[in-house]
Amino acid sequence: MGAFGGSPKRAFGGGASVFGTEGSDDVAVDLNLTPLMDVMSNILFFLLASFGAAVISFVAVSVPVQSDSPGAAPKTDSVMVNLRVMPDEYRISVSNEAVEPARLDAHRKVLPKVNGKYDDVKLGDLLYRIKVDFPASDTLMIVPSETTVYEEIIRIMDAAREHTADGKKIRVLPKVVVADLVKAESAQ
Amino acid sequence: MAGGGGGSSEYDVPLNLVALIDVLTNLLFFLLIGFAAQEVQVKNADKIQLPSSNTKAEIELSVAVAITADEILIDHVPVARVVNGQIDAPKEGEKIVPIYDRLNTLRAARQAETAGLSKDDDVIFLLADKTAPFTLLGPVMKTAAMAGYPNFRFAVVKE
Repeated sequence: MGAFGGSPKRAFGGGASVFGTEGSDDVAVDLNLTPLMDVMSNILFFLLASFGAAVISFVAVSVPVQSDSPGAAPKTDSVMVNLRVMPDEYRISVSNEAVEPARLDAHRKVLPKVNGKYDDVKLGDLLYRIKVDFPASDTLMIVPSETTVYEEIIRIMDAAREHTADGKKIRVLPKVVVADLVKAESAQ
Repeated sequence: MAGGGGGSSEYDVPLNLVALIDVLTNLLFFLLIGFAAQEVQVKNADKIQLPSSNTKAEIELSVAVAITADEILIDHVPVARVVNGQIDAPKEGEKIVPIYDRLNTLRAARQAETAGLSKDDDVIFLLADKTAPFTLLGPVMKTAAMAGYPNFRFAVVKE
């Protein structure tokens, strides 16, 4: 057997070898690729398994910033949606100076917890109705309480991001701002 | 005949494995690169149980801030301790000084590298345990905003 496996030729030395023979241009080298395939397959399956197990992603959030520049004139088809996360309920309200208060008040809602859990499905429905009434709206301001945990903020953002209606996925409020009223709330 | 003939028990079937190895090598490099990119971001995720989300956003590199039960790390460097769910570090008003200083240093270094503000220079990749209360998240976010990072990417596990 040759040095690299395959046909029985003399590995080194004179006459026929894997490095060819005098006067011959043809060299037959059979590489044994099976161990290489074994190693590669193992690494591949390991990587595929760990890739699917925990794929990290992100959701974009911002905090309010003070600006000296004059803001754009308020549009009548857009509102700022405010969501206060209280220990026992969600409080939803919308604001826009250019819209009559009666239209805004129609979207002022309180969603109490159901069986000790926030009702994120109903929240999604309410936010979608706001989007239908004010189609240019794209921002949700979340005001968490002291007891609000990270996972609850993520669930709210999931409920606000898109809504399925008539089999179609509709983007509702993809921009999220997290405001901090913890101190004001605890001082009350 | 490829399947062998009658009366012979030995078969010589030459398989061309080169094409298969090409495919495997490509897959391997693709996965290794993706794996390395994620590893950079989530080095501290073993101490953190991330919440799950239905987001489809692909991970992007930015300054990583990790909030664990014991400490706060910026780009894998511990900057403040967490004691009884509260941040134990010197403060100036609402600003947590070591976090502010570290973020300012990183921001200056990144701006020097990119010769000005680039796309991800005001974004923080925030890793926090799903049970972390807002009393812990809020001050960190506020301090980051003061240091010039008003935008955040909350780390989650894809559902």
